[in-house]
Amino acid sequence: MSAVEHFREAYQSLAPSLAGAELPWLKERREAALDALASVGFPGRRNEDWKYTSVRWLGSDFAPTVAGHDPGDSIFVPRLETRFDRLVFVDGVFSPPHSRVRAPGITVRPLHKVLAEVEDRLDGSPQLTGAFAKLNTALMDDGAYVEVPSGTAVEFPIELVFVGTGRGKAANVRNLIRVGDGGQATFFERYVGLPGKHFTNAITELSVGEGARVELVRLQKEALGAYHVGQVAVRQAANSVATVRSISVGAELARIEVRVELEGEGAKSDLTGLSLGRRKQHHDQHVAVWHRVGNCESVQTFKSVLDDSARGVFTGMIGIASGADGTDASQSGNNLLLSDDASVQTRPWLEIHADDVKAAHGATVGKLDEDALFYLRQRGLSEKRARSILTYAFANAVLEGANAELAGRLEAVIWEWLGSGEWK
Amino acid sequence: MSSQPDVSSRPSSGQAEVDEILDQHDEYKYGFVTDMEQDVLPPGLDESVIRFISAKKDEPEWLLEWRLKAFAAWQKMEEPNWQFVTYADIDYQAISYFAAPKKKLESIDEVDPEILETFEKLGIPLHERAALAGVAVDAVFDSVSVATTFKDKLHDLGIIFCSISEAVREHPELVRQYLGTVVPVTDNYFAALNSAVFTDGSFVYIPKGVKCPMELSTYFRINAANTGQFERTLIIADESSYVSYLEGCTAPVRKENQLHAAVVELVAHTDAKIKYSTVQNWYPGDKDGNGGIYNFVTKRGVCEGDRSHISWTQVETGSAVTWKYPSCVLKGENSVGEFYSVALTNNHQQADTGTKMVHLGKGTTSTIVSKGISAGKGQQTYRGLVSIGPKAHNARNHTQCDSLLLGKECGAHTFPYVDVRNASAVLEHEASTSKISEDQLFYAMQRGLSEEDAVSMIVNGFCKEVFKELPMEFAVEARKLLEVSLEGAVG
Repeated sequence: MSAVEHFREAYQSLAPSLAGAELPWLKERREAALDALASVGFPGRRNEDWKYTSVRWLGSDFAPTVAGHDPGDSIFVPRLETRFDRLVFVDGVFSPPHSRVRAPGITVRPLHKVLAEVEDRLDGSPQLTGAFAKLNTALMDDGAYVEVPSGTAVEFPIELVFVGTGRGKAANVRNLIRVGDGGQATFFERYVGLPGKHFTNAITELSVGEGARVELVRLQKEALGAYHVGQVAVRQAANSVATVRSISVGAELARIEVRVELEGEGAKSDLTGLSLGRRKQHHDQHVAVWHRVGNCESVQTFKSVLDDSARGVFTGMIGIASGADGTDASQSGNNLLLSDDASVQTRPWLEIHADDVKAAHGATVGKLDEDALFYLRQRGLSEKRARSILTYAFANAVLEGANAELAGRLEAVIWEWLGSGEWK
Repeated sequence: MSSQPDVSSRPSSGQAEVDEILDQHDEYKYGFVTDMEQDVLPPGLDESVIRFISAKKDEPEWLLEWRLKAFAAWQKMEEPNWQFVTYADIDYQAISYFAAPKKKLESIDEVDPEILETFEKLGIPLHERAALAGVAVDAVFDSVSVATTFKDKLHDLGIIFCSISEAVREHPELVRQYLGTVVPVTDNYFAALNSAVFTDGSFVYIPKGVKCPMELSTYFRINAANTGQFERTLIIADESSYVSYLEGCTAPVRKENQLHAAVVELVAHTDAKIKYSTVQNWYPGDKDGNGGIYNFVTKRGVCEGDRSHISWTQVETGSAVTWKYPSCVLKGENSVGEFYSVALTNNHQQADTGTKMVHLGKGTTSTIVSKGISAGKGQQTYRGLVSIGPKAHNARNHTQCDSLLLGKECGAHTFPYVDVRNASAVLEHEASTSKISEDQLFYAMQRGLSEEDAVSMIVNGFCKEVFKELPMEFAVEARKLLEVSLEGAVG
């Protein structure tokens, strides 16, 4: 059975128990999405966007999760240390015992509770056109819903945690986040997992109001057997500042797309990404920024460090629409190969339809600098330590300017990956 | 390299001489050109057309079979659609695959005055203008005996430079050994079509240790006057040899056929170097985007031997749609690939061009310098691949793509692909997009340059890195060509 047929059958049996089953508009939308999925199918190698990432693993193994069918309470989920407000989902299903919300003045709820109110906003991002977005619309059951009212600044990061249990589930997660005009908030969206095989198909729709400032840190640290497809669709209004950091460490195969639409003048978008790959891992980071109006600024800084026979893919697109004069866009993609068997495919793309713009990109692929290694060795550091420090210095750049509460945790993730403890 | 032929420094003759030469044209009426004029195939393409072409050219059985194989493959292929250009659908059954050469004009007076004016601006020597405009090229060249002299000289060195049809007859073993080895018949849709129906093109073989003393150009090959729309070029540089090959010329060329699907194959053996320069200035269509040539070309070179070197330089200013990626497959250890390109799109022109550098051998290096200029409603795309194979230890690539935008309605796009499978590789890719700033213009105009001259100076500076790779006289013409092509794009 093809993956498309598998998910259609799953929909047919799950439809009555999917979140919002009583909403006619949602049922209609889910079925339209299924039809669209059937007509385009999952992307193959001939699909330019998916040229370097295969979806053959998808098959018909993964069972979509629905809150009503699978309470997920028979599995032990370790307590996650945090001082932050958070929502926790296990295999895509909201887990009240692990969640808490205390911040005043904002709404943080599981999406299934508010579906009736989000008809206009669900799928409101023009970027969500691909097969995995359609699959998500058809089968999504839950996710986080966050509303930060205009003028409200949220002090601590809001944590959204998604735990995969490795029991062959397919979690179609949908997060809807809106930060009103002049609002400020930081989000820490992280995906962790127990050993085993599962499939996460997560979408975050983020709407940033005029003059608002938002930072979204997305950490993909699933267990090694997992398959992860994630999309972040951002829409920015005038004079807003959005930072998205996508860090991909876990999973057998991860494909993460960050797509930003700059819709109001004076908006600024700062996008960074880091892939840390080992063994036979496959990390695909895909970022696209479209400057729809003039006088916006965007910066893309993406890095990958690949060891063993890991594979890294980076596609970065800067799009500048006709009339978007005064755009300032830059992009850099740097790749570090630590092993002869590691490989990288990188595509730094520009599509420009306006002339009064600045757009530049740079991409590099290389290994650690021998001179720098020699310098550190000469000062008495072991080879391993010297390599770790240089690699850390390379990777760390994507954390520049990060929320102080989160920066330390992300640094720890990099050190943990390097396996050499924190440098003191 | 004083012995090289120099296009612009040949003694220029006055109009009287041209007339005299043209008067002698009668002598050539019964030459090989007239022979061919009797055979025209009606439009359409099937196996019988291919058998006809092959029979007409008196080809050996293996070549016919090769063509038929290509045709069978082509029929199963789909026309690609991933490129960043749009054009009206091509009806492959509406094309005549074996047409008589274009009828020669009787004298230079019959030439479109607009073309003559462009010749004037480009500074093309008088005696060449007639030839370029399609006035009995053979007459012109034979009279000055340039071609004949060259042929003797090349022959003495053992260099083979002839049409590919002649090569099939005279040197079948060489053609059979190399044809289709660089661009296989099934490589892509247009290469397959070309393999099935190609009618002519050039063949070059440089023997071991020979350094070709002059720049070879189709220009000097008399019967290349009309190479047709499916041109096939094969250049082989044997061990330690060198050749510089020039394709096209700066003068505007009005091709009759809208679709041009050529294939160029280069093979460089150990220590050999091939330098291939192209200037393409075919009809771009009118100011509203009507008509114009579709230039869909497959060009690829293999650096077969160690330390071999292939260098592509192109200046693309013509055609309505240009879609080509001159590429290098770097097989030999320490082999070198280079790609230097200037592409200009004005009015409604579209270009999707770039290169592929495929590093397979150890220590291979490649350099890519691409300069795109977009004006009017032109759409310009750089698309390129740099691929480092698992065995290509210490491979090195540097890529630079710069775009210059002149106007609000044009577009400049960059779609590079980098694929690295060896940790010892070092790659850099840089790209920038800019326009001519008001400050630059003001500075130049303040010093007494007109706006048009200022723009052309800045554009030439932008392209300098590529022009310096062109043979000298080509570079001078290319500079003027940019000026002419940019006319009307400023102010």
